[in-house]
Amino acid sequence: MRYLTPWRSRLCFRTCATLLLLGLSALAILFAFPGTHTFLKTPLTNGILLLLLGVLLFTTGRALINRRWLSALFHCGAGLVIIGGGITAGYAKDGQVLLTDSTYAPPEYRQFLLEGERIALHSFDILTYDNGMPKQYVSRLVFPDGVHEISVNAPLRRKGWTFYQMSYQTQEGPYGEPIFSTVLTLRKDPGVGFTFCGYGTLVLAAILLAIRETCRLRPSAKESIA
Amino acid sequence: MTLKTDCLGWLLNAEVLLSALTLWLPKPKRLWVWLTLLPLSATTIILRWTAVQHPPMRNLFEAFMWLPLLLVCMTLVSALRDKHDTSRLDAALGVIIAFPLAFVFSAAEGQLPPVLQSPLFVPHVLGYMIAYVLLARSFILECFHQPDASRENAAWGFAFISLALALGSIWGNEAWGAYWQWDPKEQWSLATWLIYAAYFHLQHKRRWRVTLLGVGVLFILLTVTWINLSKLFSGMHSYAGA
Repeated sequence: MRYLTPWRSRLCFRTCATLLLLGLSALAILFAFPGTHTFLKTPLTNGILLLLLGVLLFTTGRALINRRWLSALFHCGAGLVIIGGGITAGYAKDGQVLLTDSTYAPPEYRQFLLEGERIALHSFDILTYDNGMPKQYVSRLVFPDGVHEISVNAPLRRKGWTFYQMSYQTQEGPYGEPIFSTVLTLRKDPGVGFTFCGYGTLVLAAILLAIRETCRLRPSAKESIA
Repeated sequence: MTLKTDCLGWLLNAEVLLSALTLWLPKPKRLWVWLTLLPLSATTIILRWTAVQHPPMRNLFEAFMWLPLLLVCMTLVSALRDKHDTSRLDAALGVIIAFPLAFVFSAAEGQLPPVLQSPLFVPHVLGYMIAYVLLARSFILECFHQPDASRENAAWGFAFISLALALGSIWGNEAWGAYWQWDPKEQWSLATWLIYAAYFHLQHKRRWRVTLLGVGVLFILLTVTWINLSKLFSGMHSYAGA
């Protein structure tokens, strides 16, 4: 039977895991400069994420065999987040539509088709504070089954698509009056569920770790006081 | 750097003074002086909350107001539960926090923009503030050879930073249409989380513990100050420096 010596053991697991994590931190910072949103689009970064996923799955398996449940939970959660991220990067669909709340605008600026369903803008309102600062942007859309409202932080979910209130534009009308257009983002992301399950697993593992540390350290804390 | 001379400003100046005083006082007195910050910092938060009519967490000034209160609460937990007086170490952190709060950050009032009007606003910001205080304490405790207390603070700090990061991502999915956008602040927060994940892999040697906890605190400082305030890193979180 082949045994790992202590230094080899340390080199293989702890140091490698740490270097990998620190390397990814450095990579994240490298991509922190504005204008680079290509993290999941290059073969290098895809390769790094696949490697990381492999390491996480291996570590989860090893932790399960060794009955280290907390470690398994952590690495499984991180793996789920990466799987969700991969699905989002590969399969998420999104687009923006600009709809104008004006009778002067041609029909294509007041409605659009989504998967055979005609969706039109009913109204767009900018609610303001007393000092004129925007308080909320509200778009009301007409669907075949009625009018639905969308505002910032309150998206509309419908038939797998999510409608987000993103921003607005102003233009001058033929008589100098302002014409407002709402900008909506439409998104269908099958990776969200995996990623959020991963978040839940990671947070649960982190809370259990903190509880374990508190229970484990209490007796020694009391001894040091005595 | 300006001296704030309104009621809130004088309370913040008093926080700096009392934190500095705690550093120099002997043991029995310093804990009581430090504990006076509990009602003082609670009053500053209530005053600000009343003035701006929303939870005071909109920018750095408002978010930093929570830190002295959280620090004193943690000192109180250590004192009551462990009979362990950490007031001097916490007061050192208190001076570092209260000084920019009183003299550097702008106290200009503002309304919440639409993107901040979410039920996740308070748990996300408060989660980060609790995590930052715990992780800064963890570093200081490790530097002063209290490894058990340091480890416990780091573990709870890691739990809160994980929770706040996840809540931020869920909030981003509700407000911006994507749970991760490689926004500069998101990336630096992820990098900070990874540093603490590395700490839990390499905590058997003190050299590694001190290094990683120190790098973690450095990353936190960079994230909350430079990334928030620098024009170089404009992104989805740009309102945070306003």
